[in-house]
Amino acid sequence: MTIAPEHVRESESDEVADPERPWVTIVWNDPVNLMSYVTYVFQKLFGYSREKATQLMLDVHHKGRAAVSAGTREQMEHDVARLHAAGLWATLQQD
Amino acid sequence: MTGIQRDGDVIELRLAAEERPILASLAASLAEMLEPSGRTGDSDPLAKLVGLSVDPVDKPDDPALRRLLPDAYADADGAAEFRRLTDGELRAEKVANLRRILDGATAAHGLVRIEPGEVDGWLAGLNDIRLVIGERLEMTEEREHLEHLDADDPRLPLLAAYDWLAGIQEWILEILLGD
Repeated sequence: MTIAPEHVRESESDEVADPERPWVTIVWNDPVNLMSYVTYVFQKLFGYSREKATQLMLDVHHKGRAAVSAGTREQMEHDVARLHAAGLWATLQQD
Repeated sequence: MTGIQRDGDVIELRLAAEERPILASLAASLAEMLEPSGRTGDSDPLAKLVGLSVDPVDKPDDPALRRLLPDAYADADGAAEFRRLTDGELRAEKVANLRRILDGATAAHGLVRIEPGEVDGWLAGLNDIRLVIGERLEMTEEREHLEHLDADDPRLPLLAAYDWLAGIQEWILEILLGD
């Protein structure tokens, strides 16, 4: 059991090795995508548990956006491209 | 009447006779909208062959296409460079999903067998069709402006298709997430 905040994928070692600040992928809310579909996409693309994927989906829904993955710029460009292919509205930015 | 059931790993989707042409025409028209031939640039045949554009790729004028092919970066330069490198592949993937749905909608007897490797493409394609309809209907979470439409309102059949496709998505997801 841990009380440490959960990291959004990518390990700390990666961040330590990388002198730059990490990049994050942001998913934005839209009125069309089904909640079940967004949850499914997060599980499928990122390998997240049902619980984590559901929480991220709810964050997107209620807060208007959520950071769904973090890592190198190249990794985040890959994630954004996959999210666009799935029809989710995603952008990347430096954290 | 649409129906769904699973046969082992395969999802069987049954489409009613009156529903098939609707799905086929939605999938076909969106595939046409997404065809890369609508793009500007592509002066380099070799680059075109590998799906990369040397020239900048314009952001679509149509808001519905901008929703399907959104900016990846808030800043215009980053967004333009990302679009130049990814636009061709993204359009091709979406068109392939829609062609698969088109094939399914024209399947004999309206029984579509969706293999495990095809299901994500089906979901994404159905979702893309709904995103475009949602854009045309100026969809909101509350959808108040779409309540009590007159019987001859042209938005009515679009709204019906939008909700019907959402139902198919939900059925498929219930099966997938029920595991």
